[in-house]
This record gives sequence, C-alpha cells and structure tokens, in this order.
Amino acid sequence: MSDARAAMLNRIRAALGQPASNPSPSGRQAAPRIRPHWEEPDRERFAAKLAKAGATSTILRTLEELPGELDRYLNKHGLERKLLASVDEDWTTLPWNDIRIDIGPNLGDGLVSLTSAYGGIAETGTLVLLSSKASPTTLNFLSEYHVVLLREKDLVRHMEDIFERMWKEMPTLPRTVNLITGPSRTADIEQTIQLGAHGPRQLHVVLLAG
Amino acid sequence: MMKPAPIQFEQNVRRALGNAGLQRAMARAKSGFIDKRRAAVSALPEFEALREQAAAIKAHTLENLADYLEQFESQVHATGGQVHWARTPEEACEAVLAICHKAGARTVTKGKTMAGEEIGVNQALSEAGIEPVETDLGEYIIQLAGERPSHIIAPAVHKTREEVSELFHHHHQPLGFNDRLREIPELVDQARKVLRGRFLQADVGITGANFLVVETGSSVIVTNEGNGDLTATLPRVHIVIAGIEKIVPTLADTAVLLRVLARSATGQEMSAYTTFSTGPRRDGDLDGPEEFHVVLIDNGRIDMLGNEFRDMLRCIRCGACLNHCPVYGAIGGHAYGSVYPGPMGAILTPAIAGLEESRDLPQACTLNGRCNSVCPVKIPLTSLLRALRSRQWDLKLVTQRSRYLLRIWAFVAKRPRLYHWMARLGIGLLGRIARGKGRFTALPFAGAWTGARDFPAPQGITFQHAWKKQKLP
Repeated sequence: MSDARAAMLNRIRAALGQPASNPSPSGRQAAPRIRPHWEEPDRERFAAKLAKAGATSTILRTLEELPGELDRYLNKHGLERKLLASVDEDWTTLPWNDIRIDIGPNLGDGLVSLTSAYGGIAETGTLVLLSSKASPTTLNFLSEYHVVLLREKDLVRHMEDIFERMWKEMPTLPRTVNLITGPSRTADIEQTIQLGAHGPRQLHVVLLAG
Repeated sequence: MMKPAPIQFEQNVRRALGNAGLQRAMARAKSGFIDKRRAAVSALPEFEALREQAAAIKAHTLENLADYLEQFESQVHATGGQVHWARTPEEACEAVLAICHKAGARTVTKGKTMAGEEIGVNQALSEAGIEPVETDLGEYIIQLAGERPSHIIAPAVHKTREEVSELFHHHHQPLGFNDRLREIPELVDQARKVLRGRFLQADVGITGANFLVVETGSSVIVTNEGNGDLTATLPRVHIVIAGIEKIVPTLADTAVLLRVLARSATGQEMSAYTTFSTGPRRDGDLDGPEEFHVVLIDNGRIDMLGNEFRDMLRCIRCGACLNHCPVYGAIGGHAYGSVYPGPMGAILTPAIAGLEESRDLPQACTLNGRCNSVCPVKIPLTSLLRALRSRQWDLKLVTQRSRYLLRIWAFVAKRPRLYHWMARLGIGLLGRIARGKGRFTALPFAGAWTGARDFPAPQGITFQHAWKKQKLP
C-alpha cells in the first residue's frame, strides 16, 4: 500500500508540474466569502426554515417548562411515557413526574429520544449535535421521535459561525458532528417525499428563549 | 471489476426508448428535479457568486492536491484513523477486503457510494463470502433488482412504484411480509423494517464521502434518509471509499460547497443530514465505530489532473447535469452502460474505462449547454465533450463512414463560396419539395431522424440570402 501512496503522490506532483522532493506549501489566500443574507430576526428565520424542512418547534421561557412540553408531546402522539436521553446537567434534576428518563445510547428499541443541541444555524434551520460520552449518536437516528433542546444563545447565523465556535472550544472535532435539518426523508420511489426513511419520522425542536 | 466490454450504446438507446415504464418514470423525475432546483436557486440571490467560489475552491484544491492529501492523511492519523491508497479498483477492493477480514466481517452495510460502484466493491465482497447490504432505499431497490444505479443521486429513478412493489413482494415474502403493497408510504416503511435488522447486525459499514476535510481529517456525507449515519455509527468498523478529488481544505470551504450541493441536487437548502465523521469513537463514547478507515482512489483521476480534463475533477456529484440533459432524460442512465451516466458520465467514463470502450458516449450530446449552465462548480462540460470528440478523431476511433462524411463537410465548410452555393441549392430544393407542408415525414438518408419525428422543412432561402435582401443601402 505504501508503494501506492508514493506512486500516487509522485504522479500527482508530476501531473501538476510540482517538484517531487520539495512539496510546496499551499500558500492559500483565503478569499473573502459571500454568505447568504436575510433581514428578519435569526429566531424567526430559524423557525421558518425548520418548518420548511418538515420539523416542528416550540419556544419555552424557562427550562422548568420542559417536562410539561414533553408531556404534551407524548400525549399528542399517543406515545408511552418514557424517553431515552443524552446527559444534560440542567434537565436531569427537573421534576419529570411520571415520565421515565433513561440516559444512554439507543440500542434499537428506544422510540423517543431527547437530546440537547450544541448549536443551531438560522440560515437553514439546522441543528448541530456533537457525539460525546454524554451524547451518543444513536439517539439522533434510531428513535422514531427526536426531541432536541436548543438554547437561544447557541443559535448562530451561518454554518461558518458554528465551525468557528468549535475551533475555539475543542482541539479536534468529536467523532461525529451531525448537522440535522428536518426529519429523515426519502424520495427514492417516484420522487415522492416520504418522511421517516431510516431515521426519525418526526423532529421536534424546543427553543429555550434567552 | 470493470474492464468492461465495449458499451453497446446504440442497442441500449433503442431498448430504453422502447421501454414504456422507463419513459414514464423519466418523464416524472425530470420535471421534479428541474422545478425544485430552479425554486431553490431563485430563492438565493447569492447563488451565482457561490458557484464562482465553489469552483475556485475546487480548482485551488486540485492545484495543490498532493500537499492537501498528505495533510489530510496526517489529520486522519492524528484522530486515530487510517488512510489507504489505491491506484486501481483492484487495490481499493483489496484494502476493503483486508479490513473486513481482519474484523471477521460477515455482513457489511453500505451507505450510498458511487466510488464503491466504481470499484465494484459489492462484487468483491460477495466473492469473498461477505454479504453487502445496500441501505439507501434507491440502492436497496436496485440491489434487489440486480441492476446498477441509473442516476448518481437517485439510483432507482427509472423504477415505477409498481416495479418496486413487485420486487419487495418477491424478496420480502420469505421474511414474513406477505401482503403485496401498493402505496409509497407502505413500501418505504417495509424497507425500513427489513433494513433496521441489517443495520444492527452488520460488522462493517461502508460509506462514500461528499467531502474529505483536510484541516480536521473528517469525511462528510450528505444524505436524507439517515441510512448513511446508521452505517457509519452502528458497526464496529467504518470504511470510507472516496476518489482523491473529494478533498476540501477547510470547514469554511465545505460550507460554501454545501450551499450549492443540495440546491443543485434536490432543490433543498440543506439535506436532512450532513455528517462529519472524524476518526473512531473517543474514550468514553457510548457508540460509534472502533475503527475508521479512508480508502483514497485514483482510478484514472491523476491522468485527468495532468490533461485537459482536470476541470472535471471539480465535480461534486450533484446530478444536476443529468437532470437537465435532454439525452439523459430520453434514455435514462443505464443506456450509458457505466457507473456514471449523463454529461458528467460521458466525460468520466472514458477517463476511467478508456475511450475505446466508451466511444459513443461523447457523441451522446447535442451540445445544448444546459449542463454547463446548471453545474454548481462551473465545469465546462460541453467543451470537455468536444475535446473528447477531437481526441477520438486523433485516435481514429471514429467510424470510416463518419470520417469520410466529416472530411467532405470540412472541405466544403472551408470554402465559403462553395458552401453558400450548396446551401442555397439544397435549401431551395428542399423548400420547393416541401412547399405547403412545412415538414417532411420521410427523407432519404435521414430515416433515423424521420422514423421518430418529422424533419422541419427549410423556408427555401438561406439566412445569408435573406439578410442580403433585407439590408438595403
């Protein structure tokens, strides 16, 4: 395999007319970049784009309202009163009453999951979820209903803003960074959009104001 | 795998044009793709500027590809992953098989990967006694049908729901699904149920990559179903198969490319899932693969880097050129006889499989240029197709008859007086014969044309003649 490596790199440099022994530094001039522009407040834009992508959302004023919101959500969809959740130091201490919360990954049988987002992108109504020991990736894909808590302070304008924040806060990216825009979907049969292909059929975003 | 027999393009086209199911499916798909893209593009005033930037990012990356590949490799190593280099499909399959054998793999789930199709990884796995399971719904459908993808982002676009219903009935009955399903939601649901079990039991997951990010060592996949994520998350080993041109320097560059990719492909602003996978699971992680491998493939790409086809390596596989191509729309993807169909395929296939095997593909184009105008990275597709045609001429891959006729045409075209005289004669003659009808239903030497449609009759006078008559001093 190392033969292939050397051969490929040498041939690439030959094709580009670059010296084989002396790799030139890339010398990149980062050009100023154009980003999409909009007038409305980011929160409005985010909610509108979420809806367009087929997700639902609601705004809460305080975290204490979260169990009530989940209670309503489970009732509305006629679901069993249990959740699989990622670890969020703020919500484990909330009064969940009769809703059972299990912390950990989804091994295939969890119907509803609750996770917290690292951030949200107003540009496209996108949620950013990072894998960690507190936040297993299977919670984002194996459940049928996925509820995500996003704190408004973590809502940014553009995708680049999230990347910049990650660079500041972590030395390397976590194993998995999920940018999620709406529930799972497919149009592979006759171009007809059908939600819930392999991932969640429903995505519900709880935006915590302030 | 694919040192294929020469592609039988003419036969394929005849068959495709006579296939009523295919024609129905293609007619439906085409307007859907075009309308959705148009709506998404017109909603973003910055789209043209983003296209420019996307093209510039890819061009810059290609100019420094060796450096970026080395940097990518060291980032992958730094995050605990491994990189494998493959000059040929055989080397790529060897690398994949070695990883699978080491992992003791019996089943492998697959996210949609065109590079995987290109190297024939499914066949290699099957021959080694490892079962490949396609999990993208479209790929799953064509795997059941024993076919190839006919579109790079919608592999089963040529299938009607009735055909899918039939396939599912046949293949899912032994699994205990006895009802014949007719509605799309039911079909999607059944595939979900069947494949869920396969996801949980797989030992290795193989995905492609939309991008490989140098600064982080990440592979990026853009999907809607979530199957790619389950493939990359659940098995113990995650293998990424990607061409060397998938490299992108930074996350910020990736953002620009993402903005043009989904809009051009499906008309979405963002696909449902854009996922960055970086190395294996970290200490303490509760899920995710224990191994992360990236297989980097050449397979003709380095040759393109050094010749006039370098621009083609900017391609981000959105499929817009397919969706806007009248030839592709009429014949579907299978007629191209290769993994990559449509305009991009007509350029890539000769580079990968050889011009001799694919000699008809550069001709399968009317040079109308719609592909150029929708390409998100501004690849001059028709110029590249023309370049292939002149290469064919130089290599004498053009039939004797065509060479003879083209020589005669060239002789005339280089002599303006003769050309005008002949044009006046021909057009006048045809105009007189067709007088009143405006069209021919049959013409000598043009049976191939008039067999399928009428030939419009000339007005009886050449443009230059009309111009002269009008332009009075």
